[in-house]
Order: sequence, then C-alpha cells, then structure tokens
Amino acid sequence: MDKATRPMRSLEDRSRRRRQRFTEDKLVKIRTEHNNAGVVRTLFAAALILIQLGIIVGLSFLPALVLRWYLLVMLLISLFTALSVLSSHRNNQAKAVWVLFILVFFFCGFIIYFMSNDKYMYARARRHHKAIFANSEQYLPEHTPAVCPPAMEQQSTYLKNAGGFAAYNNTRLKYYPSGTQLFDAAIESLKTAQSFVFIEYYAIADGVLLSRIWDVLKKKALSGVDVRIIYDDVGSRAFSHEMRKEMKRCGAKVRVFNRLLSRFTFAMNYRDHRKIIVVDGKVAFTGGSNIADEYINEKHMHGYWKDTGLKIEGEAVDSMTLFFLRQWEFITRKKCEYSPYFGLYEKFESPYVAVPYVDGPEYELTICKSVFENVISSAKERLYIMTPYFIPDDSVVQALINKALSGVDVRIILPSVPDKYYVYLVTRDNAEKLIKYGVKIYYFKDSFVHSKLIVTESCAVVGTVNFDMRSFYQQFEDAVLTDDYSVVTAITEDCENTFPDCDNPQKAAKNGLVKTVAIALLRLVSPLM
Amino acid sequence: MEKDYNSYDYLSVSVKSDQLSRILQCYRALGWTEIKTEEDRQYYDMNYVRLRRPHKIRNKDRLQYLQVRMESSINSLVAITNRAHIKSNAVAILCALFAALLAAFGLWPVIAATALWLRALGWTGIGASLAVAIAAVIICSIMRRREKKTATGKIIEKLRLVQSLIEEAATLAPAVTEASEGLYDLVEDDAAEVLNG
Repeated sequence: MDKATRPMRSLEDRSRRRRQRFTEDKLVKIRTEHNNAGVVRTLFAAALILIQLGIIVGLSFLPALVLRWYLLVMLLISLFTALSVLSSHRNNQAKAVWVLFILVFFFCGFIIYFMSNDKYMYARARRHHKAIFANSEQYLPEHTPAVCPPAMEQQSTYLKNAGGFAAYNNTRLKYYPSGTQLFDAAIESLKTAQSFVFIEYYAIADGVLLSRIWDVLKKKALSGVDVRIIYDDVGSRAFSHEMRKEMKRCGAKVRVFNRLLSRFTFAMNYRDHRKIIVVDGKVAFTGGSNIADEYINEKHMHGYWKDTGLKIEGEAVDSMTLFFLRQWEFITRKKCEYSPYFGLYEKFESPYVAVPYVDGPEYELTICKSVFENVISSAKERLYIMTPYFIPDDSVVQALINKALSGVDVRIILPSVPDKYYVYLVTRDNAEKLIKYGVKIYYFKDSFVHSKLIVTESCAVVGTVNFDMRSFYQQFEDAVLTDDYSVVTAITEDCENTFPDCDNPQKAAKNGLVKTVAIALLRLVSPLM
Repeated sequence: MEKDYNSYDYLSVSVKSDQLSRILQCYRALGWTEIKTEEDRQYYDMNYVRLRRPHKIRNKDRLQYLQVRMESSINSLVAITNRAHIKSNAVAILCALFAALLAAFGLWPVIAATALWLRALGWTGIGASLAVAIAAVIICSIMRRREKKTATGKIIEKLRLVQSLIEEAATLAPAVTEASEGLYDLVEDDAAEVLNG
C-alpha cells in the first residue's frame, strides 16, 4: 500500500495508541488523578532549598581560596561543634548522623547544623507557644477530678506532668475502623453544628470528601456558625486556591500552618500532622484520616486504604477545643477568646479514663514517644500495633523486644503497598528484624495501612502518631489515651479481623547487596523520614 | 449527569474492551450499578465505564477491600502472562549469542586458514555451535513448558482468588446477587481458556 492510499489515523487515535503503553499491563484501570500542580510546587520549593544550600556551601568554601588557615579554623570549629552535639540531649542516632555530617563537610557542616538547630531557630516560636499556654491555662473550666484505675494512674500522671494534659472520666468514645465510617459520622455531627466548627488537618484535598463536608459547612458558615479551618501547607498540596477562596467568601476562616516558604530553616520540617474536628464543643473527632479522597477509598492510590478514627463526646472534648484554639492563636498571632468554647459538652457519667494529648516542637519532652513506651511496658498479655511507618529509635525497639521475649503477644500490622518506597524499605527491614525475638509482623494484603494505634489488653492509643522519628521528634501530633472497654475491644476486634487478610512472614527477608546499601544509607536520614 | 455525592458513590474505570462483560459482572457483585459505558477517549482498546452504588451500602469497608483485591488480582493476570517466559527467553538469547560466536570463530579458520589443524578446529567450532543451538532449543522448550505450567498455576490461583472474593462480596451485598449470577462459571471458563493455552 503506498503512502497516498494508506488510511490516515486521526491524531486522537494515534495519541490514544501512544498512551496505550501505560495500560498494556492492565485489564482494569482505576482513574486516580494525581495533583501534579502540587507536586510541581513541592519540587520547585525543594529545588530552591537545594540552590540555597549550594550557595551556603559555596560561600563557606570561598574564603579558603584566599586565606590558607581558614580551613584549619573551620576544622577546629567543626570538632568543637561535634563535641557539643555528642553532649546534647538528642537521640543517639541523630547525634551520630550530625557528627558524621559535621566532620565530613567540615567547611560548612556546622553552619548547617546551627541553622537547623531548633534550640536556636525555633526559640522565638517556642516563646510564643509558652505565652499562649500561659494565657489559655486560666480559661480552662474546672472538670470533675478523674478517678483512674491503677493501670492508668501512672500514664495519666505522666501526661499531666509532662504537658499538663488532663485526664477525664465522663467521656464517651467511639472507635471507627475506617476513614469512610469516621467521616460519615463527622458529617452527621457537622450537620448539627450551631455555634462553631473547628477543623485542623494535615492534608485537605479537593475531591468528593471535601465536597461532602463543604456542602454541610457552607450552609453553616452562611448561617453564622464560626467555621475555622487550619491546614498544613505541605500536606494540603491539593487544596485548591479556588476552594479556599470559596470558603472565605462564605465566611469560613481558613489559615495555613507553616507556609512552604523556600528558605532553608529547620522549622520547615515541623509540620502540623494533627487531625481534629470539634463541633460546638460537644463532639470531637481525631484519627489517622485526612480530608482527602484516598482516605475514604474514593481513590485507590496505594491499594485499599486502612484507616481508623475516634469520636469523642463529653468532658474530654474541651481538651480538643483547647488544642485547636492554641494552634489558632499561634498561627493568627492574635489573642484568642477561650472561655466561650469550653464546658459545652453533654454531661453524663462514665468510669473510663480518656486523656487527649498533643505533642510537637512546643514541648521539650517527646511526649508521644514516651506514651508509646509506657503503653508498651504496661502490656501483660497482648500488644497490637498498626502503623504505616516503622522507624522508631532504639528505646522503642528494645521495649518491643523485651515484651515479646517476656511472652506478651506482640503483633505489628504494616502496609503491603508502600506510599513512599524509600520509607517502606526501612520500615520492612526494621520490622522483620524483630521476628527472631518473637514479634509477629503482618502485612495487610493489597493495602496501605495508615492507622496509627496501639492497643493492649487494658488500654489503647488512637491518634495521628506514627512509629517514626518525624512523629516522635518533629511533627505536631495529637492522640487519645484511653482504657474505655468498648474502644479497647473494638480495636482488638478490628486487628483480629485484619490478621487473616495479612501475610505473616516467619523470618526476615534476605536483602540483596543493593538493597542492603540503600537501607544503610536511608537509615542515616531516617530522623527526617 | 448531575452527581449526588451524598446518596451515591461513583466509580470510573477503564476496562479492556474484550473483558468488559466479565469485569462488569465482578463490579455488579460488589454492589455497583453501571450508569454509562462508552469507548475510552484516553486509552486505545478500552471502554470507559461509570458506575455508582448507594453511599450507605452495608459492609462498605469490606466491599471496598474486596474490590481493591479483585482489581489487583485481575490486573496481575496480564503481568503473569507477560512475564511467563522471561527466563526461557533470556536463556534462548544467551545461547543464540554463544552459538553465533562459536560459529563465527569456526567459520573464520575454515574459510581463511590453510593449515589442516586450524581447519579442523574451525569445523569443531561450527559443530559445537550447532550442538549449542540444538541444546538451547531442547532446554528452552523444556523451560517454556515448565514456565507455562507455573504461569497457568498462578493464573488459576488468581482466578480462584477473584472467584472467592466475588463470592464473598455477593454475600455481603445481597441486593445485587442476581447481577453476579453465573460469575462462577465465567471464572471457570477463564481458567479453562488459560489451561488450553
């Protein structure tokens, strides 16, 4: 057939054939639109940071061309800095990484260390937090003093002394084993809002879930309900400008936490990972789910998305309101009214204890990590953990090993589909190293486990805290510690229903040379993961 | 069409045209109802299907999980088929290269050399290359038969998994079990199709 008589394929047809290569290995293709604009924005910010880092390195090396003794002085300063790092109160892994970095890059490493040291770079923000704490403390209403059973006494006392977190009795908690159920309940509660709605989320993204929530909130905002939303700038890449504008137009107050500015400060690493909804001071929600479609399995980004959440009613709601208002005051830098938002909860009696708590750079202690350690050490029969990432430090790992060796049934449920491959490599390696000590590792088939919970036979923690360094040391997190029998039972049942759908390796997988080297290198930056 | 996100969940999928009816039956068993099917504008040889199901369907979490596993298993069928003969193909290529190399080294002294021992060496090389080629054909055909058996086993396993997932889904979403009738036979047919090569 010559060129003239050959039938011409339309441009559209040819384009479809070209795209075919993306689907040739699939019989079914689920449409999961990714937010490319958000990714481009993050990459752009990362590129700017790298450029600035390059300039710092270049400028710090420049004097060496003129002054011969310059590098010697830099080396001496680096040695002193390394000594000061070793004598600091950081965790051992972070110390080792910093010392290595400072000594290898002796001409600029210590500059970057001081620039990223929260002791200096976050000092102003910390003073601001302290002022807010002092201001808000006086508005907290008196609550019925909590009566804690012996098993909870120590843990609630720790939380009281470490961060001033109150323990409550008269609180009703409900556990949701999926994001779908959590948000269905949250939307029903939002429909009843009459005076205020507070929402603080790490990730808010345009989509079906946000549309459902906004359908309700819009009416409320227009009718005069005080709707306030805090979102994190990194997590909420897919929260469009148009949507925010629409929210503001309808009267909702929308504020961003830690805008992704392209300047090299360690504060950029501090993200607001909290997930809080408070409705009228009567109901609050928290858990792993963010306001985005993948969390309710509307989109399948990484297989089935397993998430969990908690509904809080009663006295403990005041703590959730307090956490939100403090963060609001920190962001807006305006004095906040506290008293009108407290004591609005439904009054009823319950003997169980609930302690909502938060953690973040505003606290000197690593509260979330310590609570996990306390819960682990309190386990006598069983200890179930669900977490998307498993990159804890040595003390947590040792606590888990000790429990497993003591005969406690320690089980960890992890995803089988990674959302970030490099984190997953380290997660699997860390988890599988525990198998030989008797810890049972479960990979939920075709799923991404995003739930963050720990449960023993007597108490549970549900919240936003991952088993990783970022959650323990860098992010703003929230969680609830409880001994509520219904919650403990529901979580245990959820875990036990999940086990049959999991792969349960009996020994650690052997890694090839490339993987072993990659994991070793990734471990160096694991405090940042 | 106006979407009612408060009453319904919606799903858009692109499905290989020749598998459309079978895959739609799986979705029906998961509680989905087809609202629109058309030729996919984005991908060649695929159909764009829009489905919906009640937002407050019973056992939704489990149905969502079963759906993801079903989609993953169905897609893995293609991957298994595509990768079925990777090892035998690699062996065939390596053997072919080795035989060609031997033949080349054999032909050169046969054509160019005058010394008898060199010509004999050349003929030996050519003979060896033929032997390698024959051995490769035998080894590869044995390997391919084994690979086919393994792949078929994997495919049957996946199809059985899909079948069990859909059966479970049908018990969880009883209102739509009629739509999934006959699915078992379809899955069996698929397995037979694979077995027959």
